[in-house]
Amino acid sequence: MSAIGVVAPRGTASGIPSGKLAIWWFLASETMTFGGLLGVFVLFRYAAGGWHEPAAHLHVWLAATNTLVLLTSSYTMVRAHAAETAEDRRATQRWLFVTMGLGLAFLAIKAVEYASEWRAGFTPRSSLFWGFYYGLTGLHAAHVLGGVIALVALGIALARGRAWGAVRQRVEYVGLYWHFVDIVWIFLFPLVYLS
Amino acid sequence: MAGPTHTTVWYWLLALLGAGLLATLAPIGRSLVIAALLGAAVAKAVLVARHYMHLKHEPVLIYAIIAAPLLLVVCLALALVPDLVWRH
Amino acid sequence: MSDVAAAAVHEPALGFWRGYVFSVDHKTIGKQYLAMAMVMALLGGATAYVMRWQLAWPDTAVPLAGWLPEQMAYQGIIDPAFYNQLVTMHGTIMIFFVAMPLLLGAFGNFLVPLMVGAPDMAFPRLNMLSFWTFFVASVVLLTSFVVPAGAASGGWTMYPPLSARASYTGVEWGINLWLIAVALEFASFLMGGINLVVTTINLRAPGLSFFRLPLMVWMELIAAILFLLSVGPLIAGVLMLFLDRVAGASFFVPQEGDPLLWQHLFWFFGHPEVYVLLLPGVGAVLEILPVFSRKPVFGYRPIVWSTIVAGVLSFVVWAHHMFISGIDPRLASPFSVTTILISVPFAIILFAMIATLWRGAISFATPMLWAIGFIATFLIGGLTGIYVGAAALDIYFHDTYFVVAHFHYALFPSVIFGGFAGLYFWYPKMFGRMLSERLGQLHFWLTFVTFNAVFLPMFALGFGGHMRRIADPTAYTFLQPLMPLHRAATWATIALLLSQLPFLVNFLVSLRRGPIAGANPWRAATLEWSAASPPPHGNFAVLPTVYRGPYEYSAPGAPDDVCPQDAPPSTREVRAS
Repeated sequence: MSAIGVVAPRGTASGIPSGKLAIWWFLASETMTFGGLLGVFVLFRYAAGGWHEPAAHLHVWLAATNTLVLLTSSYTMVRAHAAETAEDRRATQRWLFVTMGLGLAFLAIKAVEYASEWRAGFTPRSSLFWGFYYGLTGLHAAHVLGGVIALVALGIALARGRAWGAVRQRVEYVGLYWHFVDIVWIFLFPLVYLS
Repeated sequence: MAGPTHTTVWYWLLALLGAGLLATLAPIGRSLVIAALLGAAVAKAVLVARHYMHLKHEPVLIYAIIAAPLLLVVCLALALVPDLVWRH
Repeated sequence: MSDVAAAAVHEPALGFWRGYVFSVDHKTIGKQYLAMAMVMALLGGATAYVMRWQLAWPDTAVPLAGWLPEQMAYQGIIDPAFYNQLVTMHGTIMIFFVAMPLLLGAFGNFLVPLMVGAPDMAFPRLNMLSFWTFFVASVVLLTSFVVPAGAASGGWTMYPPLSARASYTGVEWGINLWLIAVALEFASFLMGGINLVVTTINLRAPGLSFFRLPLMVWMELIAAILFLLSVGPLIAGVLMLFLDRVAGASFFVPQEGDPLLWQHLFWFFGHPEVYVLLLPGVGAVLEILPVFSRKPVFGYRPIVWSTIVAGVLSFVVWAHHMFISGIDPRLASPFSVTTILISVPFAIILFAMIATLWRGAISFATPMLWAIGFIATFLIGGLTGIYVGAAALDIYFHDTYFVVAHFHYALFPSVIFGGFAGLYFWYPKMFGRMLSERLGQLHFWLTFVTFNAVFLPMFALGFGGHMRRIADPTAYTFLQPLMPLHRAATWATIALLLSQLPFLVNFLVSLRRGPIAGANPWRAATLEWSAASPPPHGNFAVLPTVYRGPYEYSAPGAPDDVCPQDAPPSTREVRAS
């Protein structure tokens, strides 16, 4: 979108760049959403005695692999940020690309899980556990997808040779979002799959 | 450049993941497993937040922005205990 | 001294679409939100009219409603299922599609960058996205009227189990679309809220410390923070309700789920939300009182700290909406205590308003009438809140018209009185023209009298035990003695709605025919009055520097009875500092 008519102010009276402040506020709101959903899940699960029977049908090892994938993607994401700080455009692009790939891998494994569970007849209708399972992992997967899209957009902006200065901060901001999505999974995995 | 530090953190994350998985297989009581899992999760989250999200370099305002919702979620969950847990 | 451009600067390079439709200028976006709010207000008022007619003369043809399709109103007689839709859509439209866009979308967007001395919001393109998301949300909501089985009908609170299965209400698409519209509206105001917060924190002009901010900015900031932090759990809840309806899940359906959970999630957001709706109105009043009393606001810092305390408390009062819903009875006392406590900071603010007026050189221009009207009517709303906030009393009052009267005496003063106060006050800045004072005074007095005439009788209805949300009071013999009150309230409602005509005429005609407004027609001190009316793209020819607080009126020894925030310090001030 052309910049005609956009007066983009560069204030920073707090010392924190506006984009970073904005992302953290966004993450605060997301914390309330995921925190609310997870918290309610934990309470229901505890009250229901653990839901071990339905949970036995989960693919724990697929999900554990996904945890490995996501943790590694956080690592590659922060390497991308470090490359951006070091002004290494090519390295930034490479690390972003790997992160994107890992994000897609996460979604692919999740899709395999879903397909298998759906075919086995486990739908949100089956029981409250399954309702929460699909709701929690679905919401999380949607956020992973959003992150992948953001990474693609970032990669395109970098590849186009756009002014380095205009784009570089976004690496950090997308990174913050990505790490948050990872942290949600860090809690989601044990609470849903291992408890 | 913090390359090696990031990698070290990554190793720790994987180790914590492994520890959590092993805990589920260990012959210890249920509540101990849950405690171990949650402890590992919190540790992983703190590592990612501090070192990958660079929280350890950020000013107090950012901490406040993330602390408020965490506190509120705990408040909400506690208030729900009577109706969701004790009732059912 | 900040330069003031003499006239609006046009941007020929932008053209019609970029300049007026897909604009990134916060002032244009603010006006777009205002336009949406005004259109939706007409619809909200129409729902009120139809409901009130049905209540006063049940099962008679509603005048002017004969064109409604048969499922809604057979020959103008309201179908009971349609009444439920009216109840639901009235609340939904007024809260989410009138109050929010007016107070945060219009006032927040238009005023905050100007008042902090910035050329625009922190994220102009995000701002544009937030408006268009809101627009789509509105369209989705309006579409729900024309889908099979009609619009949502579970009340604006959408309680399950009734709302959890399409078969319970008979409304399938309507409620699904409602959930989508509300989710989109939340997304829109999340984006807008982040913009407001970051703009206030980061884009303040040099010299503009937090305690020199106009109170309107404080109120918008705190309102945005309340929204950002409270909406998350309800987003989770909306997702769960959607899954219940569409995927057959049972989050809110017994035996596995818990219908009460929805209420908790809804009101955890719902209560801070009412303060989100209140604070900007309070802010507008606090901007107007000093200008038309030529005195500084009394108790600036106590007001700020009270608002912050109220904001924090607002997160721990929510179950007062649920006292008789079947919650653990032991929750009733703590929530009663916090609810009664929260009246204290608001009382402080109201006292501060009165003290601001005390011994002021008062001029009763239209904005001032609305501001004083706010104080008079919100007082009743606030006091009656203590009645229903006490769990023991609420056992009787819950779901009666007492509650309806209470919240209309809280919401109407803040949204409508505060909203009109702001509109009359900032209209010259927004449109470069003055509104007619005579039409304004007429509008105020008609609205003030008719508003009280509509809602005062409802307290009596509540004492009489009249239930909410029923379409036909004549079905209950014990309500028959109360029917005259219904009729009185309905006549008053029609009068209230007609009383808005002077405003509509005034607003539209003055756009072209009103006297040209200068930069500072009210002789006020805050930064927006240093920009042209209306301000050009970028707001200030030279970004201002701030030297003092926002309410330097009638300072002793000063040459004039107002000292603008960005006027360079006089020798007197320099000596005093």
